[in-house]
Amino acid sequence: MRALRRVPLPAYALLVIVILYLPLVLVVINAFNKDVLLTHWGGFTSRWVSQAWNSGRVRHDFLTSGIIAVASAAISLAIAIPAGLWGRRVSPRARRVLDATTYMRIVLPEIVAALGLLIFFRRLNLPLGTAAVIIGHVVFNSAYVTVIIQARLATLTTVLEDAAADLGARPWRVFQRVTFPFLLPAVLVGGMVAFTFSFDDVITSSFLGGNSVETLPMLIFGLARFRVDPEVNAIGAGLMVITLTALALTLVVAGGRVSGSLLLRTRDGRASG
Amino acid sequence: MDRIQDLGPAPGLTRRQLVARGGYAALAAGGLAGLVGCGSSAKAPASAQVESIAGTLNYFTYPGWIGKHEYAGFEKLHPQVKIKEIAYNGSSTRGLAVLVRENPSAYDFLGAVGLAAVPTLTAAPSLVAKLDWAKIPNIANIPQRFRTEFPIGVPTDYGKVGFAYRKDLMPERPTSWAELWALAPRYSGKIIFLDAMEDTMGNALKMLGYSGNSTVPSQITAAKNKLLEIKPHLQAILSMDVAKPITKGTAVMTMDYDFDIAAAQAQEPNIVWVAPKEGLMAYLEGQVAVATSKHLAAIESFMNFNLEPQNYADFVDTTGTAYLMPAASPLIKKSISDNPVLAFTPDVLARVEFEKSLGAATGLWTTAWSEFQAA
Amino acid sequence: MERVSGSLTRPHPGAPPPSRTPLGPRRQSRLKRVGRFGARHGLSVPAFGWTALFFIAPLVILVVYSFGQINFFTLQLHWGWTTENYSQIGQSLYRDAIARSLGLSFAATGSCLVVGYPLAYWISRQPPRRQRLWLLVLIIPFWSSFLVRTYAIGSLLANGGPLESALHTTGLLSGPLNVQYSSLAVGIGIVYSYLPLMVLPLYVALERLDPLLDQSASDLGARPWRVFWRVRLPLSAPGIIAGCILVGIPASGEYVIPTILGGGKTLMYGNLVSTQFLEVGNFPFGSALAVTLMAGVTVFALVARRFSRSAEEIT
Repeated sequence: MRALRRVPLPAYALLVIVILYLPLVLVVINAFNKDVLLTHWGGFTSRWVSQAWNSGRVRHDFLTSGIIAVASAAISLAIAIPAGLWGRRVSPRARRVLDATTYMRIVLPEIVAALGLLIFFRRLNLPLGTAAVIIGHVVFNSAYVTVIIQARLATLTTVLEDAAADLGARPWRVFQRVTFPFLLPAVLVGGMVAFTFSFDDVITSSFLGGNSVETLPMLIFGLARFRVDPEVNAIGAGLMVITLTALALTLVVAGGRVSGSLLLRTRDGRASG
Repeated sequence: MDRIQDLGPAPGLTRRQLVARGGYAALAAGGLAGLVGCGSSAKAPASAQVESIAGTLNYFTYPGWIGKHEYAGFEKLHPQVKIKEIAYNGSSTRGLAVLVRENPSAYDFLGAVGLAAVPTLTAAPSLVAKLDWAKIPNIANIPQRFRTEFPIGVPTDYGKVGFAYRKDLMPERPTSWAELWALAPRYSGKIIFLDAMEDTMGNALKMLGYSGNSTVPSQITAAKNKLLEIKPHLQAILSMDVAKPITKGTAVMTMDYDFDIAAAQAQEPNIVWVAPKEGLMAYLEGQVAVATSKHLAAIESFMNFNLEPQNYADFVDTTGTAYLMPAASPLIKKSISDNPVLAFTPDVLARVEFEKSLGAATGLWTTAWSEFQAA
Repeated sequence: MERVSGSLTRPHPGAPPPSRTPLGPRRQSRLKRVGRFGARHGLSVPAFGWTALFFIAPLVILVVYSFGQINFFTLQLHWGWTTENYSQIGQSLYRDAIARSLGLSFAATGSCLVVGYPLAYWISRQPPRRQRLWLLVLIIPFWSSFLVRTYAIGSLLANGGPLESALHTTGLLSGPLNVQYSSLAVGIGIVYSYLPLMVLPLYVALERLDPLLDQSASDLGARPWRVFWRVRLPLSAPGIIAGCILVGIPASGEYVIPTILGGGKTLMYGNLVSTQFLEVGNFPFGSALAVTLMAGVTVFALVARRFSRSAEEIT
């Protein structure tokens, strides 16, 4: 089975990725569609795309979404990493408490959590707005990131960290030189997941944003009142194309150096049996 | 569609565009304002009214649910006022009311408020500001019926829910709900219904001869049973892109909003609209001023501005909604105003029942509707 | 961070660091105990603090609501302490909805696992720089709008849509595709939307595993399938469990995708919750529904985690 698996595996992986992008291809195509009802190809027009591109509101919302997503991802990581490390070393009962609070945050339907927070904020007269939205996002994002960090930590023994400590390394150095490099893939993956959820979030942002926060998904949902027209497709597609380009550039510039030096470190720590 | 409205003067628009837009609307508004001014010369001097209008108005509504040129046009007339549109992205007017109840001071006035939200907004302490109708003389452009049905503010748009069929894909010519139900088995799998509880269940009630806003449990159950009866023949129950299947021909009959069908007819002329004999439901929406707002004068001024035929036509052209101002007809683009589906025929309007709040019976309705969805 | 040394270097609790404070013995030992507690549990403060303040507190409000009744108009709560909301959930309408949602969740988790595992494995076998690249390639589609994406899937699968045309042209199909507004369409949409949540945790666990493992296993005579089943799969268990949790739990509350791609013909548990909160404004009943779901799924997940613990012992 594994020999079978080896042969078409790259083909399989690429097939899955291509299928993943097919709907996006349609979105991009429809962004240039003259037919407002999108029942067929009505001819090419760039007016939706140029409108979205020139709209200050779209740009502003894009930035708002981005800022909130980055902040939410950063804070979620800052919460999840210590929690994961703590969970490794305590009694099963304590760990179960951590797990329960983590799963509860994932399972509670977003509308419930958002409304609960809204009522909570309003009763305490706390201001709604960007900070409130970030707080709301972190509630569920930190749970997702915790699960991912824990999955990574579960594949590590504490052997190397104990050895480093026994050799006289202080705790922060142990973390910096031993633990964190192990965790790096999970940190990157967790950050990506948190960013993505935050970026695409509608419900929490709507409820906790008050009258001062408008994110791009909020705008898109509101515009799609009776139909998903080319205008909406243009915004949705543009979003993705911009982030794709930005990331391609970042990778080219910064990617090589960072992963290169880490490569050596992670190699040393691989499980060997 | 061009509905993306910038939040106030946007860096994206060039100065030339902004001035051009504002200029166009100001020209139109200025001309009409002159007429209005003549009529109300007995009131306080115009300059005093303009002076009290200043500040930022937070307008909570669906994004882009306004004429393309309206914000800029109004701001040009009143440079001290800025309108900030706050996007509501939910799908029901009750959801809007919930948000306003939780945080009233965040909003100055509301758009696309349906009748279903009225009790929530008016319950003590009432969130609805009393409007000085003397400051909104253009309300006379709206027929009395709509004004009576929408007492808490200015009605702006409505949508009747009837059904449509493809005359090239079926020989029958149904004219009532009962006929639609009767034809269902023959065209099983090619019928689309609307995912809107008030409209769909309301229409089922009307088919049975009851009020579309009934709170009588036995009537509600009867309507639910009618829906359960037709469900096996339904292809889908849609809330968006409702007219797409019938336009493409993959469905033969569909329940839908009048303006949605009108738009589809532009592409597929074989679609025939029916305002059924038994009657049909309609939603009615409008603008409402929030009681806690400190800018009531500015709000009233904007509402009046919006009701000027030129600006109202801009609103209709931008959103494609069904309209309720006959005076605006000549100014609205032909593809919308020429369509008989949207015309003000008295006999059709006589059969229309506006969906209202169901009060305590809401729970009964939603349970019945959930049972329909679950089947 | 100085305090943390206790937990990192001494996995056995109870061994105190030497005290250097000049205070009296009793105060010293109390400080020690506080210090030790802080040392051992300081790391958990951000997580528990945030959860307590911004999750538990609002949740308590809602749970209290669930025992009350609401005035539909003013949205004011009547503190009634009634269990009527919970007893209502016993009706078949709600029982069936939760069964349907859980069924969907199981199917989604299983499918995502089958589809996602080979992909995660392949990515983890790439050179490190490429790994990051492929992860990004995987996640970037999800930086477009969820609504636009899901409707695009619906359009692709629709009768008269691109997929049907392609199948007609290649001769693989004659007649209508008939996938639209069906459970299959919903399944495709769910697997699509949740795939990264399965692949990413899997990758995180698989990346740790040494390719030499498989090499040695087969050198010792094990056949490929056995190698996979006995060696790779158990070692990637933490990733599998994490992926199943990240997909399975949210999928049980999923209702938007079934509404859009399923043609609105099926009622999911999430529909009920959302309706109660947004349409009816009946927060108490909605809260009761949400609390029930949460209790059930959390218990289930904790039990599943127990199995994961034993799987982790192998590592």
